[in-house]
Amino acid sequence: MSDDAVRDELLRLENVDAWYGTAQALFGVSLSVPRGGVVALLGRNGAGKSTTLRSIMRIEVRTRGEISYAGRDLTRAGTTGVARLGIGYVPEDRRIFGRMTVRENLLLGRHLARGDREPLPLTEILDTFPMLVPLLDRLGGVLSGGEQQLLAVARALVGRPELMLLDEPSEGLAPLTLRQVRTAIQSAHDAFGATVLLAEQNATFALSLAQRVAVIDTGRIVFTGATEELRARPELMSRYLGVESAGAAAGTGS
Amino acid sequence: MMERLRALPGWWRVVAAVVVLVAVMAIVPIFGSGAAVFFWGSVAVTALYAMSVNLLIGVAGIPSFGQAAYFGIGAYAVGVLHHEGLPILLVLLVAVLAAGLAAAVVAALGLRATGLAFSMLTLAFAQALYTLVFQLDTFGGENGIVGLLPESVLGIDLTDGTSLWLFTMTMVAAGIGGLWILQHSPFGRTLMMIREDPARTRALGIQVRRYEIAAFAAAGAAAGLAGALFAYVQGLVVPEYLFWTRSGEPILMSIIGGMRHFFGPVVGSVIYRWSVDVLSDITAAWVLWVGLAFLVIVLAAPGGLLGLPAQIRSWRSRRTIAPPSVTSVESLGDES
Amino acid sequence: MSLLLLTSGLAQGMILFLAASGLTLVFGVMGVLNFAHGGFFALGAFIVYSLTGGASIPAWQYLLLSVVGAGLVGVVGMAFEVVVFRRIYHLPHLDALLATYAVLLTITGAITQIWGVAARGQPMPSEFRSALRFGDAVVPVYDIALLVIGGLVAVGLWFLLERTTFGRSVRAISADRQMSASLGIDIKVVFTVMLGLGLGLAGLGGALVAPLVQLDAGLAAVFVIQSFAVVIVGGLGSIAGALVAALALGLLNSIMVSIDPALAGFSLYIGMTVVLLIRPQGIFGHRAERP
Repeated sequence: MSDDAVRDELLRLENVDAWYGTAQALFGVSLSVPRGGVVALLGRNGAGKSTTLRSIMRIEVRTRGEISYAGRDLTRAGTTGVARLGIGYVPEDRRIFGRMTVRENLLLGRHLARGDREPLPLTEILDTFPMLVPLLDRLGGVLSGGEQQLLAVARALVGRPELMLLDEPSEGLAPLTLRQVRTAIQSAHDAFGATVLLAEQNATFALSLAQRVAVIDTGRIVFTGATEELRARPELMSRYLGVESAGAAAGTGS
Repeated sequence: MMERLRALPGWWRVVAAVVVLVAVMAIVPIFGSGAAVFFWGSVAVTALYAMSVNLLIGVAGIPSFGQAAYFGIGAYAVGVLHHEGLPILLVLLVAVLAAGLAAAVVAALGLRATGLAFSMLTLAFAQALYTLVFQLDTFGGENGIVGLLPESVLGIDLTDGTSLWLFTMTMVAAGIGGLWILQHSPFGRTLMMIREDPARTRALGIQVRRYEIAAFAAAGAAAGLAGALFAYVQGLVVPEYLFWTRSGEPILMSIIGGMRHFFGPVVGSVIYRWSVDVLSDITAAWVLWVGLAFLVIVLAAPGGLLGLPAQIRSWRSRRTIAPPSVTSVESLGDES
Repeated sequence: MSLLLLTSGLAQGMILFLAASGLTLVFGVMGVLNFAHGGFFALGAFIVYSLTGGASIPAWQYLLLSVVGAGLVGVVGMAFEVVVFRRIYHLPHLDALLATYAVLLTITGAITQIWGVAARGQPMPSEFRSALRFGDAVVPVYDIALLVIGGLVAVGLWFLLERTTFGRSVRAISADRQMSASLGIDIKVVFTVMLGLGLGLAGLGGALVAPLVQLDAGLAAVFVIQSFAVVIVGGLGSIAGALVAALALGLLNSIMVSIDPALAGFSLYIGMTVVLLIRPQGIFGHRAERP
């Protein structure tokens, strides 16, 4: 990696171990997310993707090792503090507030904005997510899975995060909704300028968005490199991601 | 001391306990004044009461917050029956059965609710009983029933302090012995299994609810015995015996001594009653200091005094690997 | 039912609501049932007693001092949150309950330390001692005042929770603490403020009850259990539930007392028992939505 890339590193994990209680879930994970990039963290169920994101967000895991964001040590911060540095988090199960309206869910995203990061006006968010407009006064709990996923991404964007952490946004979505979610993430990056760390099981989906990839298996990073490098290694794809070949992977999904 | 006792085989521990008991029974009246004999008599009864509560909370993991109800039922059984001229042992038997039966009914009706809801249910029942007893003239209203002076048991005169002390201690020892046998029986081991993992115990085909009801009844009966003895020691019963803070006290004592130790509640009640006795001579606001001490114990030494050695060992052996988790999420109402 | 019976029942209910509203608010957000709540209730009564000097003062002054007293109790409550409460949120239910019980004892003792053992009496402002006539019926002015104040508190709480940014954060935290933190909501600050608010409301309840009861440290233990009954019946965490339950229990109590004075207070615990047996989550309660 060139010096330039190091200087432009937004998020950095160096040799991170993580535990749930006494059970160790991550072993020496190192990961680098360049400013303005889209990085995919690929792995099967239980490989440690969510744990990696939770380690960054300081949720329920204990960690050892370096986790830094824009040069600041995250391991000493609380979840609120991490979020307020400008990290938008879209958790695995979306965690929409079911008894609040879609509008209220979006407004809650404003807490992320601090200092010179003004929250986005709702109109601007709704321009990007027009499908949410007719749902504004519905309760979050009655939305479909796809609608909730879009809402979760939109909610995280309201606070103008510099970094978005997305945990399996493709999970359980129908192809049409998947495309909408993909567009949403794309515009989070392109239109709102967010750096994206995307934890995914669905390689096709993730590789279509990412420039760089890390593959994680049983809590260890087993590959890092550009998207093209991974595509060129079908044995990795099949061994760690259950994808039979790169060609076959490209043919499925979207 | 306790550690060494634990290393002894079971029957030696029983012998040791009996030796200690006999020594205490002899020493207090020989060296203590009449007031001291009276004081330690009520402490002994309190210890039995705390033990009955610990059978539920410490052993079976059933969070009862209304044990004063059964203590009070035992005490009021004496209050109502004493002037009928019945033999003391019969009165005690009635007190124990009445308290045990009431507890069984409450548990049978209430154990559908779990956790906090069950705690609140036991509390509600005890408070309902308290308000009734407080208001009803049948039970002497707010003044209670006085003049409960036991005269004799099995032909032995009980009118002087020492003989009442010996009688009280014998009955307390019987009660504690009963709880010891219960707790070390297969029944007691099943209760501990339920405490540790109710779902697994259920999966083994054990009727968890039946065991819990039985435990609640046994604890109620023991509390009833304690209440009845307390009535005799004090010579009166008042509605305050049933007030909810009287349910809190034995829990407090068990925590102080250590809930996971059989004799924890005994240690706790001796320390509690003794320090209250000392403190209340110094300041009317003794509750302030008891509250602070209790707060420190709950937060810093939840295993109580007898749990301290184990806690220190675990501090020494556990090397912290990283800062503790940032957010701990407590579920709010998922169990109610 | 006579008008007097109705208003005195509802006024009693409003006192219960004032005592219980903060309790249910705190449970809804922190998930801890707070025995110490009663201590702050009693503290409110004693602080107002000291502020008035135990003298009979005009009604408007009394109400003003009650609010001031409630504010002081709220400040004490916030300090208490930072020093103690913060350490017990993560404990299991029983341990948390016991820790707050320890705090209740501490506050009860502190009240004895400060104000002594002898019971005090707070005179009722003379304006409140009169009664209004509606045809044949006579209604004490203080009952009406309690109804108005209770109503204002209920509306104020509704507005705060449903219509403000702070309220939105509070609702978010009570639904999903983790996600709220991940969105950048400062949970610590919200907790401190909520405990200050909840205990301040307890203080207000105590201040308004002061002219009606004998002031001694035992007030704490009596009112906390009555508040428990209200929040259990209404549903833990529900303000609307607390209001409905408090009014219903107040009314029920006044009806039962009119039948037989020996039944005073009984309805509270019977109501609590029946609700726990039939619908343990309370009338307005619901199961948590969090996974």
